[in-house]
Amino acid sequence: MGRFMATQIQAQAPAKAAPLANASLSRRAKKYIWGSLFLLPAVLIFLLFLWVPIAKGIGYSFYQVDFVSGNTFIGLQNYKEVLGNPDFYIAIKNTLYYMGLALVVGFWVPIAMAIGVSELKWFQGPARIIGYLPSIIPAIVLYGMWQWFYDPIGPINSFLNFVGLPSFDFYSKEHAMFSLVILETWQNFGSATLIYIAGLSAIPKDTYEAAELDGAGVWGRIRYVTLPGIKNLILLLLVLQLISTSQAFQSQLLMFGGGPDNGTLTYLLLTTREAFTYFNFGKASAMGVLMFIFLVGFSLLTMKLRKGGDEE
Amino acid sequence: MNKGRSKRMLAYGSLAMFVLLAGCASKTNTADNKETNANANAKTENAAGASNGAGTEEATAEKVSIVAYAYPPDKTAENAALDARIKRFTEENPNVSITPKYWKYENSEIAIKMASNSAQTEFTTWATEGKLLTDKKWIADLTDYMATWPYAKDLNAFATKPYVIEGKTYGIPIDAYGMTITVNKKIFEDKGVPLPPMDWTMEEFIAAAKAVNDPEKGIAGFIPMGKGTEAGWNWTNFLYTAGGDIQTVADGKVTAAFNSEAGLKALQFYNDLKVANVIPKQWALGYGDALSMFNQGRGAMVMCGSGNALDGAINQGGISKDDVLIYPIPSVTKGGKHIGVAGGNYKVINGLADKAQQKAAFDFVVDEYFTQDYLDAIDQQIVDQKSKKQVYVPQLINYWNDDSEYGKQYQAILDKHDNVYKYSPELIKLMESKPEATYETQAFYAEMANVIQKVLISKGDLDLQKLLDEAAAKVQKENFDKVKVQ
Repeated sequence: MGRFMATQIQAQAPAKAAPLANASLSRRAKKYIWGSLFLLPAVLIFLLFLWVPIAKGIGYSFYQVDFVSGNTFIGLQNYKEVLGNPDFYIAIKNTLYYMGLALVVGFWVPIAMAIGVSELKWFQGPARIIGYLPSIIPAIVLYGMWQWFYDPIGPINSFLNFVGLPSFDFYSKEHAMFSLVILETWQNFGSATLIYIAGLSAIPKDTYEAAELDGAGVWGRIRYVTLPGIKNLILLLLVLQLISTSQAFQSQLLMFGGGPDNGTLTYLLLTTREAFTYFNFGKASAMGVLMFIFLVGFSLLTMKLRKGGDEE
Repeated sequence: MNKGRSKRMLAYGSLAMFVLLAGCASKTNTADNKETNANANAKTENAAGASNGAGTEEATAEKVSIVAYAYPPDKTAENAALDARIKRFTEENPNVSITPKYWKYENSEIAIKMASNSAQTEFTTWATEGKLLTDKKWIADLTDYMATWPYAKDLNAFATKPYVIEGKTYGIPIDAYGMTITVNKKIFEDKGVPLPPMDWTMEEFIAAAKAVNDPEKGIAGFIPMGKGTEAGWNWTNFLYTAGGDIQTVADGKVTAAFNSEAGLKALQFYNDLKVANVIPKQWALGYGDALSMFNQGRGAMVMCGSGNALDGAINQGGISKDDVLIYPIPSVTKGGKHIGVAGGNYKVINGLADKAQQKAAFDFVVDEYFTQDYLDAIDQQIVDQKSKKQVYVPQLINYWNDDSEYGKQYQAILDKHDNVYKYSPELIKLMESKPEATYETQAFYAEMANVIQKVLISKGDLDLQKLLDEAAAKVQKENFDKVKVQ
């Protein structure tokens, strides 16, 4: 009987397996259908406004682009012209200089501000608001304001003269990029400060208490508890800052127009100039593709380095 | 989750997605142009015949929608005048519907506007843009329409010139100007410095700038534009007045010519201004920055199109009309020529519009040219400005000939008001204007901006000829060698 039943079950198994598999698939589909449908708008928006333009940009880099008369395929000509343009190398050098200067001058400011604010016993809320205020100033007001700050008779130089120091030439070729980094740091440190403050609030309070019991002062707490506690956040914001500063062009365009003598001509500003001053959309696309390749490579490298660090 | 609610949400989500995708699906038209093109597609074939000017009656049978160039929302008087003009035109042409839309021409935006087909059917642009816009086929050839317009022959030939390209007409002048120097007379008076003679030289210009210069108070003798393409545009005036040219065209080849002896003189003039320390230390001044500084009284002289700096200084900067003067570009030697770059504003018709739209837009643009309505509108504008205690600053060059009957009527209107700025007759006698170069002018300006900045920030001796030669070689290789002269 038992053998008979076993044989019968075995005989029926293939017939039942299909409906079972279908039922499981249907269950799984039901489980994921809602999630997938809610994802669909985001996927479509990304596809239309991000991936399609990226793909089109790559395509355009091989064409002489003419929106009205039609595009002409010219192979690698745009890339040859980009690489043969001396301004291309000036722009790369300036961009790297700007990235480095922004790291040295600006990267530590939100960390120091966040730690300073979190160490405050009173006035913490208003300090956060005051720190964030520059971020909400519209760009057009911001640049007008800094043009006045940097003016030879503006407040900074008037103060320097008042204390007996000579005026500082914010507009010289040597100082122009530095002037922009100060402006950018002032405007952007508020947002990063808020992110760091959120990171600091996640560090358990008892870690600080234990450090204090062990005799740690303010500097000891910062060095052995706070900074290690936000290490990953610092690395993440470092990568984000490098990516955003590599794409800098707004302040360079509005404050100095890329000058003096190409002293603030960044890579993206040159790309914008190719596209919207000279209408060489193919060349601008080729520059965009080269930038894209660099940033993808840089992101992969940092991911690999971070993975290595995590394994340790 | 409740099943019924989920389904409703799904339905709403799908509807929202459909609307979003429908919005994205319009490949070439924005919402503003959608109606225009929907109507246009239905009647293009029938109405196309109207383009030759002979089929006006057939065209009136068809509905045509066009988008007209409007003013910024804060220009209420100008927009009201436009609305009234649209009303008058549509009453006479009931088949045409006109939607006013604001977009001001910018050469950094035009490519995007054309790629998305969202520029107006007729828009206003500058004298410099003719070759660029026709090369790209972004504006329509108006030659056939002009042939049937009875007033075409009455247009001022000098004003029309920048948009007559290879024998075809692509634009209708609104007004034109020559570059001049605007002088803040009050700064001279406050310093007790006599005004320089109108027939001045570059040497006298520097002497005047030195006399009124006051860096301690932030007052510069002269405010040159040093940022962006404006820097090259400003410098070109001195190149022209020294007898130079940007380029020469011969045997189908464009050759850089600005590194000539005249170019060297013009650059030496900038170097002398720098050495004399009569220009602002903050060299990064674009068009708006330089005029804004002048309006604030932080500069005694600025270079601009004949009436533009004057208009801003009087009506926005609050400087009295008696305290500003217009001078021609200084000559190199006494009695020499005072040549400035010619410029102006032009009406052009969108090259992407269909023939019926182009015809309707052309008819709308020229509808009140040479009419009493136009003169009445000017009269009303002067009255409106007077009520706001403003001054009407006429352009030096108009679309009509000044000695024509129409020109005399216009002058009579100006003469009857006391809030109209009057140019010095000596200025009109002295100043000369020369159109900009035809090919790759913006690229030349951008490259010259670097050279000018080198001069403006220099701390020692510069080999000016070498700077010019290097710039010429670069523009030649990167831009001029690629031009195909037709």
